[in-house]
Amino acid sequence: MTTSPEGKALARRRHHARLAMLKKRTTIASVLGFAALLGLVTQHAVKGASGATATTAQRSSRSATRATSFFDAGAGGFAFDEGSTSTESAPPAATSPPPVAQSSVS
Amino acid sequence: MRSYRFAAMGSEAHVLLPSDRGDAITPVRELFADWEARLSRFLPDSELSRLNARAGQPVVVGRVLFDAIWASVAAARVTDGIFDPTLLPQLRRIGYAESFDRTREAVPAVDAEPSPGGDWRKIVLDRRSRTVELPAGCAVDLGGIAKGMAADAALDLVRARGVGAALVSAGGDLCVLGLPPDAGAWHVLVGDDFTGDVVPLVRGALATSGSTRRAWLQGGVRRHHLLDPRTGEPAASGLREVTVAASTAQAAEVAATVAFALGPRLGAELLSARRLAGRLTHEDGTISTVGPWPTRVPTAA
Repeated sequence: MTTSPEGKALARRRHHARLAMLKKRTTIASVLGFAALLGLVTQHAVKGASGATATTAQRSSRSATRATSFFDAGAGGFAFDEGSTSTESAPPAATSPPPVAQSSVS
Repeated sequence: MRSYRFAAMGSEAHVLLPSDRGDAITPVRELFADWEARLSRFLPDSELSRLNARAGQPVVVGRVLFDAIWASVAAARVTDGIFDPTLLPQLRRIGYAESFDRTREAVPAVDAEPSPGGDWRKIVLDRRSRTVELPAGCAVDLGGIAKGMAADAALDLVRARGVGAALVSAGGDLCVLGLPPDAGAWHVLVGDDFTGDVVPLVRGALATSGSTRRAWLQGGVRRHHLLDPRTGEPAASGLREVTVAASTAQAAEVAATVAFALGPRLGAELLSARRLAGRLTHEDGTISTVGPWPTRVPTAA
């Protein structure tokens, strides 16, 4: 099977283009890999430096996960008056009925 | 609705249940008694007292105590330590060593300098083994948050028993389930009988923290139980009391305590940032509100 010079040149250009793409991907992968490795090394160093408190810090970070939703626990939220939501206040009534309970200073 | 009142956790519990569901009050009473026996710092044999006595070594504790300490540490973390469950040594220093009904109106001054809090940062918790290790010298006081958690737990208990409407209050930390018959809301008095407001709570919880009730003199200086962990001294923030509405009594209690310590401006900012509603009584008696707090209306005669 014979190939024309134009065909050979086209094949060569495609080959070079594929090589260039591969090199680019390899470079990106190397950079990302190095960054990940650097991150792991840094984390290890920080943990090592904190020594005895590492366990506490680790535990505390688990608490922090819970803490972010601390005030949102109990998905129902709160509401005043009928039909109002936690972001709406009740329309004022003329008088309020006698209380059934008291939230006093504890 | 039928009303039940009984002593619990150093204050008064108040429970409202449908008239035909009086059967649910017994487990609620038992829950409060159990929680007090475990979490009171005033009972020398409570699980908390035994844990405090073993600070510096890991201790396996029961679920209720573990969850309460876990929640209090989470509260401390989310409030940057303004809520601090490890201020018991500081409370003892200013004369609050026994339950308040046994605390004398006047106690002698002490020479020891105040020390800031923050020991909660060194508490080691392992949920899998339910192990708590307090740092040496640390002592935990679960006071307010324990009452809020107990109210939430009691409400869960009656809900699990098929009760459709209930109100549970532990020393003013209250939460509601459903709605009372023939009413669109639970009308709750916030503050004292003379200057308080009645708010129509439909869902969630309310808690009030303030310096007016648990207060005494030490060497002629007025003291109260809400400490500022940054100083280890009673908070002097310009507020007299704070009431907060939140999804749970636990969250409302923590937010009220922290807002009180932070003062009018920062306290209001905290409540706004957490999308909570609040009522702040300033030292001079003026009242400001935050978030969707209901408009003040006069109480029916």
